[in-house]
Amino acid sequence: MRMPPALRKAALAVHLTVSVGWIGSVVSYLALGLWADNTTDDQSIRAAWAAMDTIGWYAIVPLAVTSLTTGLLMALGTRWGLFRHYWVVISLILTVIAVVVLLLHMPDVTATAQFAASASEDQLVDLGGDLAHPATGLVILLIVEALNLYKPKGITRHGRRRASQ
Amino acid sequence: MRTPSPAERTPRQAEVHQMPRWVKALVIGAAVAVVLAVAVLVIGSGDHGPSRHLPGGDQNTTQTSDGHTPPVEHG
Repeated sequence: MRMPPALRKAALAVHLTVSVGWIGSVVSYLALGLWADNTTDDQSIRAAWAAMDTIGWYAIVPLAVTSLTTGLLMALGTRWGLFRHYWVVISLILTVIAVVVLLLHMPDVTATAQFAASASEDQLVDLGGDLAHPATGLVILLIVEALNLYKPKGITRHGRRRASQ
Repeated sequence: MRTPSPAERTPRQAEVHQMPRWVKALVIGAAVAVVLAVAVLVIGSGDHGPSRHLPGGDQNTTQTSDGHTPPVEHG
């Protein structure tokens, strides 16, 4: 079902806003992770983990879920479709992987932030930061962003069947 | 008008109907990344999240058979 132009534009505006916001919030999370990893100040490590927990649950998770939802709406409500073009299919797969890993990872972040709140100085220095997950996530999001901007050519078998009908 | 069989297609048509080169490159890149990630996980005995630093390591590995996480001992 095609969306009317006014609705399509509104949905696109929301999708772009939350998707770029998702990337921005991951960058800020990564900055805190780097900070926690490189400082030896126990209060800074404690504060960084509390901030990472808050940014994760109150910014990254809502933005990620909204981005996936609005992306699905945009694909299904426009001529692009969900499985007709390779760039849409790959964007969908990468976004779903990013959201699932994020939702599996966040309880771990919360547990670590709770531990950091009462940990000793030595334990905090050993705790370090959280770099691998946000860095990998950021790379995935930038690939998805590039695919959405350039929309490289390539029609799937399903897309060819639909086009010939 | 009938659709030409694969043998009847011109080189240009065959190229259009193949999986694009950029998709193949992306799939190969993703496969290499997954293999590397699995290798790192195997070498690092599976603990890769921040909770590996917590007392008792990864919380998933500290659960008892009834699914409860035992309390952390202090002192």
